[in-house]
Amino acid sequence: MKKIFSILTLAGLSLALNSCADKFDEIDANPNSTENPLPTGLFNNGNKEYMDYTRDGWVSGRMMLPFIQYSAQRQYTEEDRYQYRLTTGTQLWTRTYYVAQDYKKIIDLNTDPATKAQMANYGANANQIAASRIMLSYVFANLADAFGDIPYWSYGNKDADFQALNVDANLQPKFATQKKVYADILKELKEASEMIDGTQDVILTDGDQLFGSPAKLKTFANSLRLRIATRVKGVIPGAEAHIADAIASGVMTSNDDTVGLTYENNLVNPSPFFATYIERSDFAISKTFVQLLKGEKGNFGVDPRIFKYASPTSVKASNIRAQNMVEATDISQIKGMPYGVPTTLATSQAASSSYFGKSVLKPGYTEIFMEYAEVEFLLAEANGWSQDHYEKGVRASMERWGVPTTDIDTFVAALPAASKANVMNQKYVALFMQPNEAWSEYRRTGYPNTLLLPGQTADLNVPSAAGQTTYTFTSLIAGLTDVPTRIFYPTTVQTLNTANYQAASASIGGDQMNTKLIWDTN
Amino acid sequence: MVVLSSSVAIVSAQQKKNDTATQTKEIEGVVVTALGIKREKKALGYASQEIKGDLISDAGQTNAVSALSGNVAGVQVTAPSSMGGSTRITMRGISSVTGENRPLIVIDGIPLDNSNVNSVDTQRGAGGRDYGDATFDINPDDIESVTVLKGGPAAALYGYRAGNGAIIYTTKSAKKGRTEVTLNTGVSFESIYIRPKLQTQYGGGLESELPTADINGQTYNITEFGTDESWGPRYNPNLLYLGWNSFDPEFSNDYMKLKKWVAPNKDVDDFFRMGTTYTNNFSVSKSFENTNVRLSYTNTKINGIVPNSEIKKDNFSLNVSSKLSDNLKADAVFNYVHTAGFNRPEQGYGDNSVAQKFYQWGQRQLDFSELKDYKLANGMQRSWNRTAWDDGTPNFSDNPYWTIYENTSDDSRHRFFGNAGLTYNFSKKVYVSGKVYGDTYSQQIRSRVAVGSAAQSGYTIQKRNNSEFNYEGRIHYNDNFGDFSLNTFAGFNIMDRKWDILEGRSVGGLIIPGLYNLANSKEAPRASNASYHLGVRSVFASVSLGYKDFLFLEGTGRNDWFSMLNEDQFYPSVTGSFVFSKIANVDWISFGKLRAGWSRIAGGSDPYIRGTYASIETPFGGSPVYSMPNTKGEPMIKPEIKTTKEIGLEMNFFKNRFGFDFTYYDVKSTDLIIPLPIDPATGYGFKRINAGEMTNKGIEAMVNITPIRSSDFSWDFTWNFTRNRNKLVDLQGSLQNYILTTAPFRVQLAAQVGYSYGVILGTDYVYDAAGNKVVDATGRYKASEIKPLGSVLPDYNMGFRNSFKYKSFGLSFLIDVQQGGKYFSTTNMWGMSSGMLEESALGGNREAGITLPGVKEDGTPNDIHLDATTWGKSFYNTVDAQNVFDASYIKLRDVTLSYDLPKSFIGNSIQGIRVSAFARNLFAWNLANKGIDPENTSYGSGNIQGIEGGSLPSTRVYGVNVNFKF
Repeated sequence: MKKIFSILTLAGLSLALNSCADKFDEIDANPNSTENPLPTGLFNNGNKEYMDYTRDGWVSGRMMLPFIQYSAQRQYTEEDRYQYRLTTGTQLWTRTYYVAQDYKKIIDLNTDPATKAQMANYGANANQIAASRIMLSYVFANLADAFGDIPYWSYGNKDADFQALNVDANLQPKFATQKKVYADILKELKEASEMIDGTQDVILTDGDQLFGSPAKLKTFANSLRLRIATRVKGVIPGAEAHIADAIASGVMTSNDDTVGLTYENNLVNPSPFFATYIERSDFAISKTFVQLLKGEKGNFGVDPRIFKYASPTSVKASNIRAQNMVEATDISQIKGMPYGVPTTLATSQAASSSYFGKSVLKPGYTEIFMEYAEVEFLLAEANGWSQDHYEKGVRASMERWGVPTTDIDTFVAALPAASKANVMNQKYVALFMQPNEAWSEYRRTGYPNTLLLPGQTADLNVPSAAGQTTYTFTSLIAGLTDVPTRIFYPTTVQTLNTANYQAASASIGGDQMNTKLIWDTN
Repeated sequence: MVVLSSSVAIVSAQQKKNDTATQTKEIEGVVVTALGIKREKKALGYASQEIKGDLISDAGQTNAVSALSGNVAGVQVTAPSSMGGSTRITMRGISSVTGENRPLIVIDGIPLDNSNVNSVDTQRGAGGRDYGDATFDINPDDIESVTVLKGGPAAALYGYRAGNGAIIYTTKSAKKGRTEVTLNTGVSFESIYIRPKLQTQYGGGLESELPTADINGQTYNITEFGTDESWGPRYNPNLLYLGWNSFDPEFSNDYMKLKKWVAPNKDVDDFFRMGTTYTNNFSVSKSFENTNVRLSYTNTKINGIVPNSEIKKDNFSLNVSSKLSDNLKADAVFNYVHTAGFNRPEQGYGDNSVAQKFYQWGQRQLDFSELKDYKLANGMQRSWNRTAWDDGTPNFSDNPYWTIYENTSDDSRHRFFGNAGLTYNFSKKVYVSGKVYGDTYSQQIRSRVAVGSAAQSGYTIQKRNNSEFNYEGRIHYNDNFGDFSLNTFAGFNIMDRKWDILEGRSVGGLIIPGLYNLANSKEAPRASNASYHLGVRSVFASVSLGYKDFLFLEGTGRNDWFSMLNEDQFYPSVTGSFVFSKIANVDWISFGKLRAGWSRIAGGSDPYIRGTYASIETPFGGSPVYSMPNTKGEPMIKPEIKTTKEIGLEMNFFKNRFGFDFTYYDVKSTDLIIPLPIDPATGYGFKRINAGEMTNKGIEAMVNITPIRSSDFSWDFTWNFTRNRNKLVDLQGSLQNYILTTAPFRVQLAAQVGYSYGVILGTDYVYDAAGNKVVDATGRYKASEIKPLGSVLPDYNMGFRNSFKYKSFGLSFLIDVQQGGKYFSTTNMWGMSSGMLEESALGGNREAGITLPGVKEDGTPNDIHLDATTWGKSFYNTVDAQNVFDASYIKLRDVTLSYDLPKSFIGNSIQGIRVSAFARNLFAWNLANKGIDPENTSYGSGNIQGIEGGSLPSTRVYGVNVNFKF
C-alpha cells in the first residue's frame, strides 16, 4: 500500500514538474534590454562610436596624428617613432566593424518586411537606408586606406568576395581586394545619393547629429565620392568618371555643408581627444608642423591659423582641465615639441612645448567627417591645380577656424601660386586634426614635403642635461625610410581568421608597414 | 592531517573513546556523500576523500577552501593573493572553456553561491580590488568534516553545478547525551616575504645628469619630477638636489633644503606593516532528551599588511535537530555571516595599485618616511610625481600614502544560509524527507577616488542581492534480501535563483573635496541596474545493490529542465566497487577495494544567452544611443556534456600501517558553450556556439604510511599526488584559438586547439640551428611571431605531510609542491623597462651597457653594444618570453605544533585545553623568479589566471591558537 502510494506520488510529481517546464520561457526573458533597438539610437551610436575610437588618444593620438606629424608625444615617444601599440590597430579594425554592424542593422530594420513599417515612423525607409550606405562607405574607405585588402560588405552588390557583416554565414570572412572595395564604394555612394528622398524634411526624426536634411546628406555623399575617386584615379577604372559625376551631382559649396559631430560641453560626453587630458597630458603640437605654420619651413609666410592650432607655452595641463586657456598673441610664444626624440630626451623638451589650442582642446569640440575646404582643394586638383579653388580652400579653412577676415585676406593675397606642391601643402594645413585623411594624401602625393624623415637630424628646443642640441630621428620599426604606408593587420585577426589573413597578406605584397596600397603610386 | 576514513579508527584508538561517530570495528568508516546522505565508504564506487575539521582550524586557517591545498589529491588550489581574497579551486583540471570550472561548495546540504564579483579588469591584472568569494563565509571553527567528491559519478546527484565535483562541508552538531562548551581564541601575524628585488644604485629620471632649475636667481639640481622611471644618475652623496618635497613652504624643515642623492633610509619594504588576525570563537552544544542544539559565534578581525586595511567578520550559527515523535525528526541549520572589509588593497595595473608604483613605475630614491607627509594644509596632495618643480599637480602617480588613506573602499556583506527539514520514517525500510535550502546575501561595495588624485575623482556604489532556494523531496527505501542489500531513493528538486545589481557612479569627477555622495558629482551621476533569474527543475533516482557486503553496484539518473537552455538533459551514472580483501582473506592485506565508474553530467549556463540584446548607453546630444552588442546570441544553445570514466584501487596493509588510494580518470567535455571570439569583420567580436571538445586525463594518488606506532609515539606520513593532462581537442571547424582575455599589455590568454587550456600567446626568442638566441639589427633579441609560450595549468601537484604524536604533543607539517604551469609578469616587463628592478642595474655598472649573448642574424656572434636604457626597455615590445616564468614552487605550507594540557594541570572543571602554534608559507623554494610568488598572480577565482599585473608581496603567517573545552 505504502509502495503504491509512493509510486503514485512520484508519478504525480513528474507530471507536475513537466508542466512547470512551460513557465521557463518567462524566466529567461531578459528584463535588461531588447533585441530590436530603434534606428535613431543606432545611427547616433554609429557616428559617435566611430569618432570616439578613431579621434581619440590611441588611433589618433598615438598613431595617425604623429605619423603625419601634427603632434608629438611629450613623454613616451615610441609610437611617434612608428612603433605603435598593436592593440591600437586592433581597435581601429574592431570598432570600424562594430560601427558598420550598427549601420547594417538600420538597413536590416528598414528592409525586413516585419519591421520596416514601424521604422518608417522614424524617417523614410529610403533615407535611412541611404544614410547607412553612405556611412558604411565612409568607414570602409577609411579602413581600406589604413590596411589595404579588407573584408567588406555591400548593400547593392552581392559579390561572393564581400563576406563581412554576415556572422551566421561567414565566421571567417574573406578579405576583398582593394580594387573591388574602392570600386564598389564609388558605386554605393552614387546609388545611395540617387536614392535619397529629397521631399522629406529630415533623414531621421531623432539621433541624426550629422545631417539633419536630405540635401546635406546628398552633398556629403557626392563630396565623399569626389575624395575617394581622386584618391584612386588612375588605379580604379571609372574613377575619373566618378569625379566628374560627383561634381555634377552637387558637392559642398560652403562651410554650412561641412559634416561634423559636435560633442557635449561637459564631462559626460566630451570630445574623445579632450578626454585624454583629463588625467594625462601626453600630446603636444609637433615642431615640424609649427615650423611650417611659422613659415620657417615650406613656401608660405606666417599662417594665422597657428594661434588657433597651438597654445602659448604658458598654457599648462591644469589650464586645459580647468578650461581657462588663453590664445597666443605672438608666434614666439608658441614652440613645437621636437618630433620623435628618444624617450630619454622627451621630458627635457616637453616642459617648454606648446599644447594644441583652446579651439581644439575643449569638451565641445566638433570632430570633422568632411569639410568644405577639402572639397575646394579636391576641385583645385580636378581642374589642373586651379588658383581659384585653391584660394577658396584656404579661405574656407581659415573661416572655419575663426581667423579674423583681415588676416585671411592678407594671407590669401600673399599665397604663392597654385601648384601641386603648394596646393597639397595647404591642404595638409587645412586637414589639421583629421590625421587619417592627411596621412592618406601624403602617401598618395608625397606632400607635405616638410616632414622629418627617418635618418634626418633636427634641433632640440632646449639642450639636454648632457649638452646635446640636436638629435637624429630614427624609426623603431626596422626597414622604414619614410612615413609608414600602412599599419599591420591586427594580431587578433591573424589568429582568428588565419587562412584569409595569409591570403590577404600575400595579395597586398606582405603585411608590413612599408607595403604600398594600390593608390600609393608616388 | 589527511585522514583516510580507514585511519579514523587509528586516531580514535588514541583518543579517549568519546567519539561515537566512529565505528572502530569496521575498517571503512561512514562518509557524507551527495545530498548529505551518509554511506559506508566501502560501498562507494567513486573517488572521494574526507578531512577532519580540526585539520583546518588547527593550522589557523581563515579560509576553509584554500586550507585544502596540499591536503587532498586531485584538488588544485590557488590561495588568495590579498587579504580576504578569492580562492581559485579546480578538481580534475579544466573542463569548460568559459563556464564554471570550480566544484560546487556545499555546506550542510546548502549549495553555496560562490560568485566572483571581481571585475574582468581585476582578474586580468588590469587593476582592481579582490573582494573575495563565498569561501570566506565558511567558518573553519564550525567545520566537523569535509568530504571531497572528486568527479562525475560522485557528484551526479547534485546536478549540473557539481559537474566539476563537490566539496561538502558538514558543520558541528551537538552529540547526543553531551553538553559541551568550547572557547577558541587565536592570534596570528603576517609579514611580507616574497617580493621583487629593487635596485639601490641609481635614482629616478631618464638622463644620467640631474636637470637644473633657476629658482630665485640661483641654479639648483632638481630631479625629473614628471618621470616615473629610474634610469637617472648614480647615487652620489656629494650630489645635492632639491627633491619633490622641497617646494612646500608649510613644510619648513624641507623647504628649499638640499638633499643628498643617495639611496633612501626607508624604502619600499618599510611601507608594509605586520598584519594581524584575531579570531575568537565561542560555541555551546547541549543535548536534551530529544533535541540537540549547537550555537556558535566567531569573531574575526584582520589587519592587512598594507596600512589602513582591515576586515571584520562575525559568524553566527545555530544547529538544531529534534525527534518530534518516534518516527518524525526535524532538523535545521541557520547561519548568519556579516563581513565588513575596509580598504582592501588594489592590485594589478591600476591607478590605486601601490604595487604598480613600488615595483613597476617609480623613482628609487624616494624615502618613505618623507612620503608619509602626503597632504598639504589646503587638502591637496603632495606627490613625488610633480608635473614640474613649480607645479605640484601629480603627473601620473599618486603618493602611495595618499592612495591608501584617501582613495579608500569599503564593502559589507550580510549573508544568511541554512536549511530546514523533516524526515519521517514509515518503517524501518522506508522513509521520506522534505527539505528547504536557502542562501541569500546582500552586498554593498563603495569606492572612492579623492579630489586631488592623478586620476579623475569619483565615487561608486554597487549593491548586489542574491538569493537561491532549493526545495527538495526524497523517498528512501532500504532493504536486505538474503545476501543482497538494497539502498534506493528517488526525489525531486526545484531550484530558483535570482540576483540583481544596482550601481551608481559619479560622472566627470567630484566637486567638494572629501564629500562622497552621488550628489557631489560634477555631471549628473549615472545609475544602472540589471536583474537575472534562472531556475532548474530536476527529478533524480538512485539504486544501490550490495552482494554479501563485498560487491556493490550503484546506478543514478537525473533529469534537469533548464530555464536558460533549449533542451532538458538526462544524465546517468554507474559505479561499482569490489572489496576483494573480504574474499582474499590474506592476513597482511587489511583492506582492498577495486572501484570503477562512469557518469555523464550536463552543464548549465548564464541566463539570457539565447538572444542578441542591444546595449543601451548614455544619451548623447539629447538623443538615445543604442549599440548592437559585441556578442551574437544563439537561440538553439544546448547544455554542455561532460562524460567521466574512472577506475581506482584502494588498499591497506598491516592493519593500516601502510595504505594507498589510486584513481585514474578520463574526462571528455563536448558541446562546450563558447562565446567564440571571431574576426570583428563579421560585425561581432563573439558568437555563442556549442562546439569543441576538451579532455582531461589524469591520476590522483594518495599513500599513507605509519612507520612508527606505539602507545606514546606515532609518526604518520602522507603523500598525495595529482597529475592532470588537459587538452583542447577541437574548437569549431578550422578555428584554432579562443582568446580568454588580453593581458593589460602584450600577451593574450587563450585556449588553443592541441594544447592545454590557458595558453599564454606572445612572442618568443628566435633561435638558430644550434639553439643560440638571435639578435636583430638593433642589438636587441629578435622576436618571433606570436606563438604559445606555455599553459597556466601545472604539470602536477603534490603534498607531503608528516605528523608526529608524542603523548599530548602533536607536530605536523605540510610541504606543498607544484610543478609546471606558467605565468606572465607585467612587473618584470615594466620593472625592467623603468629601471626599477635590481637586474636592470647591470651589477652597479649601467654605464658599461651590455652586449646580449647570442648571434646576429648572419650567424656571427653578437657584438652590438646596447646602452642600459635601451636594453631595459627591450623587455617591453620585443620578446614576451622574457617575462614568462615557470609557476613551479615548493612551499613549506604549514607547520603546526599542538599540545593538549594534561588533566593533572587543568583540573576537573575544564574538559581540555589545547594549545597550538602554527606557521604558514614559511619558506618557498624552486621559484623561477625569486621576486614573484606564482600563487600571487591570481586576482580572482574565475577562469582568468596566470597574468600577473602588479602583485603585493606574498606573506608568511605565524600564530597561536588556544582551545578550551568545558
